Amino acid sequence: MENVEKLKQELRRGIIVVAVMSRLQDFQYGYAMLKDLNDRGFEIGQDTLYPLLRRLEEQQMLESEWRTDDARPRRYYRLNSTGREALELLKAEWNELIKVIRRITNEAE
Amino acid sequence: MKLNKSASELLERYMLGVKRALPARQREDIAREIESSILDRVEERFPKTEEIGEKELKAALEELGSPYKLAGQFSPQRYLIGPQFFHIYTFVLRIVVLVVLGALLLSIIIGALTGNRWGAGFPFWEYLGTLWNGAFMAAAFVTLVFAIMERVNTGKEIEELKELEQFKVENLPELSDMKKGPSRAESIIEIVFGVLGLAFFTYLLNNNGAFPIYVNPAEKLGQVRIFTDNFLRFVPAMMALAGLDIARSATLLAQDRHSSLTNWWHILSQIGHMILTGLLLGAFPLIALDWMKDFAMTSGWDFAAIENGANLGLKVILALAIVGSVVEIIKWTIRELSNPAK
Repeated sequence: MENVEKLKQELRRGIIVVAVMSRLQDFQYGYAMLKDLNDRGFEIGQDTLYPLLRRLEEQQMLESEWRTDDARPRRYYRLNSTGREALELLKAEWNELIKVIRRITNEAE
Repeated sequence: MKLNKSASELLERYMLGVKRALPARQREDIAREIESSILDRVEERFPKTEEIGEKELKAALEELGSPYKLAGQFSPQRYLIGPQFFHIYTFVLRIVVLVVLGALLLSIIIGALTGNRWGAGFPFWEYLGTLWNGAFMAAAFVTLVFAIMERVNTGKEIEELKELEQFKVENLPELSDMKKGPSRAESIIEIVFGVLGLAFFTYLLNNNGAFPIYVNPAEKLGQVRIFTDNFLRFVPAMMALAGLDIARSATLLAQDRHSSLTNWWHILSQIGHMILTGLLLGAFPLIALDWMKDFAMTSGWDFAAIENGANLGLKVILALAIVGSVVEIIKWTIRELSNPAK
């Protein structure tokens, strides 16, 4: 079963970026995003989310700003135009993959 | 929601530990985000508590684990040593390199003192090279071990390392050192001694290393030389370093706090002191007691033994000064890199 868990992790690893980027159409801060994704059934830890946010920002797909009007200063993230374009392409790729995988698995059955 | 005094202090100590484990680039930015996320977590856990105490904060921090662990989770991903081990890797690396450096330094000093290698042929740069090689080899070995662990143990928990990931209040760094400003008395004493040192060195240069000798205040016997030309040629460098130290103490007095400028100033000054002391060790004899010859002969004393003893005493003092400088350089560099002053 340990190997199956490993395979499941590998499967999820590729789509985490789609899930995170999809929740960044509007400004969101890290902890709220973590809660939001987990509440929606997509399990993700802070050790995955925060390094990913930094990487996306380095790749200039995100913009971030510190807001001090909340109870405490929080860093908010949002996709910029490059990020939105990338997300559309990733979503199209994801839909295509689903179709292909369905076809392959149905043929196998 | 707000934190009471003891909870604020606990959070400050935890964040100090987090900052020490973060990469220098982005340290402040990531630390700020971590602190914000910790408070979000506390608020979510205790939604009805207006004032959070130490007990509540401790419960939240226990869930998050040690500052090293949390810092590793928020840091940018590394590829040779992954996030699972990176925070432990940096922790072990620092300890191993410091221990190896300390042991090498001690063995060099003992070897040099017992083998009588201080003196004209003192291989200062060779010893510095030995220290650098030792630190490099230790770092390479630790990196190799962790890289192998990374490849072999991906996804598995290692019991021995879990201990380091747990949150324990007693493992958090203390705030006192960081909060304490510079001591005014210490700065004033440093300035006074610096000025006295400058006056002494100026006197030495003007008198070619000679001092007047009196039997009583009214009867001057003449001038005697104590320091050799080998010593005198380093005096201008000593005066320059003393001047820099005085200027740093005056800056600390004026700004009444440690800043990045004064901290790096101290580190560079200590490097200067270390190099100068090393060069002095290579320039022995520094003390000449020719003026005692006649007196020693009439008294039946062994003149050569007295002169050698004086030079050996100076060698030991200089060797200790080098150790002191190395300790200061390591201590202040680690402190400044892990928690830079503003």
